[in-house]
Order: sequence, then C-alpha cells, then structure tokens
Amino acid sequence: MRHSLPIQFDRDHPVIRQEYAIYTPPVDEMIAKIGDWIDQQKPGGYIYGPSRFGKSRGIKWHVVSALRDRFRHQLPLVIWPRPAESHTSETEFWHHLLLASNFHFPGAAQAKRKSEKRYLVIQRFITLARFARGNYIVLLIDEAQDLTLREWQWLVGLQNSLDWEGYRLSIFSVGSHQMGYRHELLAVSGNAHIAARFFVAHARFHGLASVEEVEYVLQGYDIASEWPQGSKTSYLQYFAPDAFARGGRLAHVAQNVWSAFAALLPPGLNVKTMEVPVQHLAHSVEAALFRLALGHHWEDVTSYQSWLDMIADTSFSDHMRVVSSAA
Amino acid sequence: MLRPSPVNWGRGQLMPYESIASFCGRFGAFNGLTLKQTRQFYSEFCGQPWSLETGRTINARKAARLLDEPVSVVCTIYPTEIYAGRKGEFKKYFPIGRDLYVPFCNRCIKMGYHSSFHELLYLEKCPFHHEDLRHMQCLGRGAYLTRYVKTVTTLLRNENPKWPDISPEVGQIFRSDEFAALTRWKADTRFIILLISWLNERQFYYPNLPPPGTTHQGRRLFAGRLLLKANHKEAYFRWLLPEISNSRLQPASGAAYVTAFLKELERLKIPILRINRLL
Repeated sequence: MRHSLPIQFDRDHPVIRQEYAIYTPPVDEMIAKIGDWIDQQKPGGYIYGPSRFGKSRGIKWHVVSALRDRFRHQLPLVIWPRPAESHTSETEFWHHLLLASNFHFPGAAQAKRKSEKRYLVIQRFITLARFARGNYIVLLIDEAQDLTLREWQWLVGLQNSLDWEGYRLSIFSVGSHQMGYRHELLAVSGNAHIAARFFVAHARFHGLASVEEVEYVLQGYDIASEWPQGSKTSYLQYFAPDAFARGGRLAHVAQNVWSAFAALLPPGLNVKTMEVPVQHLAHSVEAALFRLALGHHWEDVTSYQSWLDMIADTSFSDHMRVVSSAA
Repeated sequence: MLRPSPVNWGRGQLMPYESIASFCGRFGAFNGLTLKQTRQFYSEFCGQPWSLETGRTINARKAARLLDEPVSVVCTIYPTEIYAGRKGEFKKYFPIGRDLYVPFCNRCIKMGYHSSFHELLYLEKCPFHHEDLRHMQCLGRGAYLTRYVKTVTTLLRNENPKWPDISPEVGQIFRSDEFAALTRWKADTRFIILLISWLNERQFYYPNLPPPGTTHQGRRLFAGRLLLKANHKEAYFRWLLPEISNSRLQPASGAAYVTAFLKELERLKIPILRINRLL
C-alpha cells in the first residue's frame, strides 16, 4: 500500500521508508537496565527476548540519546550490530569492531595481520575513552545470539588487555531468547569464566504487555514524533491532517488494537500473559496511516474489525506460534 | 554534540614540542598507517600537500579537533621559530654535511620522546637533561623526509618497549623550572632565530663570520653567536655549543643587535622588506 500513496507524500518520510523507531516502554526498560549496569560498571550483561520485539530498533535509534540524557554526557559507547553470517576469521572479527567504532582506517595497510587489527581495536577503544575524559568504555553487541565461543574468548582477551592498560570495558549483549540458554551452556562446557563475566547480569526484553503500553506507543505516532525535522508535524498529522485537526488520535483506540491482538492470539496462549511484538504493532499502524492517507474514513480505519484485518496481514498469529514453541 | 575523532589518537598522547618526525611515526603506528599514508591523509585532511617543513601551515584548530588535543599543544609541534622557512627542502634545515643525521638525547629517547628542541642547529646539549646530544645517521635511501622519520621511529621503537606510547615521566619535564626557563628563552630569541632560519634557507652568511661554503659546524657556531649576542643570561649558555659559550664575544641586547644587523643588510643591499614579510 505504501507504493500506491499519492505523489504528495514524500517517499523520504521515515514511516514510508520504515526508518524510525517509536520509543516504547520495553525499550525504556532495556535502556534503564543498561544504564544501571553502566552505573555499576559491570563487566558484562545480556538482554534477551524474542525476535521482532523492537530490540534492535531501540538500540539503533534510542540507546545513545537516552543514555546521554541520563548521564548528561556522551558515553564512550560502541554499538556493534553483529552480522548474521558466522565469523571464522579473527582478523575479520576485529575489522568489524573497527568499523563499528567509526574508525577511519579499518583497512590500513599496516594492519593486515590479526594481531595488528587487535592492536588497532585496543587503541580505538582507548581513544574513545579518552575522548570522554575517562577510562571506561561500553561495547553493546546486537544480535549477540550468533556470537561463537571463540568470539567470546577474543572479547575476554580484549577486556583483559584494556584492563592492563588501565581502561575498563563493559560488554553488554542483546540477542534473541536463545541467549537465555547460553549461560548454562557455557558454564557446563568448561567456559564458566566467560559466563561469569558476560552472562551473570541479565534481563528479559518484553513485548508490549498491556493496553496502556500500546496506548503509549500510539501516542508516539500521534504527538511524540516529528517529520520533517523542526516542522512540529507528527506522523499521524502528516498522513491524516484532517482527522488530526478534528481531534482524531490513535491512542484513543488503543483498546481496539489490544483486543484485536488478543483475538488473533493462537489457541493455547494466555491473553493475560500476551506480549505483543512492537514490529507487528508498527506495521499495523503504518497500514492504518496509509489507508488514512488514501482517504479512508477515520472511523473505518480505526474500528476493531479494521485492526483485526491489518494485524492479521502482519502474520501476528504465525509469529506468536513460532515464538511460543521456541521459548 | 561532539563526535569522537575517527582516528586513533587520544587526548594527552601528544607531547609539547614533540618533533614532527616522532608525531608522524606514532600517528602511523596508532592507526596502522605507513608514512606515505600518514602524509596522504594529512594532505587530504588539510587540503594541501604536507611535509615536515610546511607542517606549520596546517590549520592548528582543525588538527586539534582531529587529535582531540589542545590547540596550544598542537601549535608546539609546528614551532615556526624553529622551522622558519616557508618553503624549501627539508635538507636545508638539517644540513649536516652530505649525510642526514638525527640529533637526539638518549634519555629522552628512552622515554619515547623526541623533541623539536633536539633539532635546533646550535644546541649541544639536550635542554631537558643537559646531556650531550647524539647524532645518528639516517637509515635507508630515498627521500630525506622518509629517511628521517624512519630513523627517529627506529630509535624510539628500539629504546622504548612501550612505543608508540610515551612514558608518563616526560610530563615532568614540562613542569620543571628548566623548561620554563627554556620557553622564556625561546620567546626572547624568537626574532633572532627567525633571522638565522632565513639565513639558513637562503644559504646566506654574515660577512665577517662563516663564509659561504663553510662546514655545518661553522654554521652552528655562527647561529650560536647570534643567539649569544641576543641573550646574555648565563643560564642559557650551557645548552649551547661549548665554542659559543666559551667565546669572548661581548654580550649585547637583542634589540641593539638586530638594529645593527638590519643596517648591515641595508649596506649589502639585501631587501629588508622580504625579511619583514618573513617575520
């Protein structure tokens, strides 16, 4: 539907490009937890939760600014979205860390060997810590469920080396719920030191668990969003200016949305413990915004039946079935 | 919001008055770059070709932002009073006979430090440790600049296991009374040093002193005598060549000497305007 929008809607709009993230209560919870770990300078910690719950988007769009607001200065934070393909080469592993840390010369001619790449990573982290006028740096790894044992071992070495140089490194990992098993697996396979460092502190990333949380997210589209920057035009106002002017707000129909999700929950799953993946809500809201942009009536688009259709189109039921069987 | 620099160089790693050769070597090591790549990066960064003798033309504020170092420290590695020439070739600043030598202080090198002060033509001793400066013939072949930087880097790497880091002890140098005296002296003599550099650049020699074609030692003596005339404080003498400090030259004020010098230039019909522009 996004491709059939009238020409007056800018194709660079974040909602059309799906390049945005609404601040959600679970993201807030995750960032608060990471902030607490930073306060305590824990050597490691991991956050796990089912896929499509909004972890990666929260990290990409909100972690840096939210932590800056909390600590009132820019933390030396390196975010590494680990590529899904497996890494067999140590050189490549260090190369990815250099890229993640925004290093200008990741392919430097003098650093072809893994030991040289590793040296550059150490110097890079020291540079970032010094830039923040401290001796502390945080590495946040997204999609960490794919990290291999060897990679964890290299990270232990990195942490030790920086420690020797007088710098403290915290490594926080975020991954799918498979990570929940990693702790025990490492402990029983003779790698308890890795588990003790990186997995003792942990927290679960939740989906949207109540109608109030859904309402909070919808308010993001209603008022707590803006595009173009500085225009004070929210996402809803951009796509449905007339309805917005008449006082229409998505947050007002949060109960319809929640009920539709509950109705589409696969049999056997408890509505009281239901957690809605943010991505399914986002895609449903995007569909609603596009319908409004195409001239559909506000009442039709925001009705319970309409939400049922739009949510069903996101394959919510199938996703929940898969996630619940994997958990 | 300030973004961290994209290069590996943390605040506090640059030492005041560090020689450009030392800086080049260490910057390359921290970033995995060859000397050629380092120069290329700086040329692109500054938007103009970069070499040791034109290093001073680098925008110090821009460089300070890149390195996350104070502008005041960055300025010291491009000391205009030492590298006074605007253009010209590197060899003119280090013209020790036909071969190129790196002057250094053994104690400084062991701390991983090589200073532009060590490169002053007329100093016999390290201004920080009062030890005789040594000279090492430059390694390899090729461009003067490359050979010079390589030799400084090799010296530092061989003598200091923690290179490219510099020992924290170096910091004490800059808090000492000796260093304060040295910087005062440098400020006092800035004008004279510029004249010397101008003379060096143009291979010009004062008529009654070392004639054209004289040895490097002769030129060093001449440079030192100029300084002696400009500065008659006893404390400064010990850094200079012994021939200079033992000479019976009558001390004169810097201003008086410069006036006489300019008159001499006028007599020789050397355009003074060029000097003024240089200064």
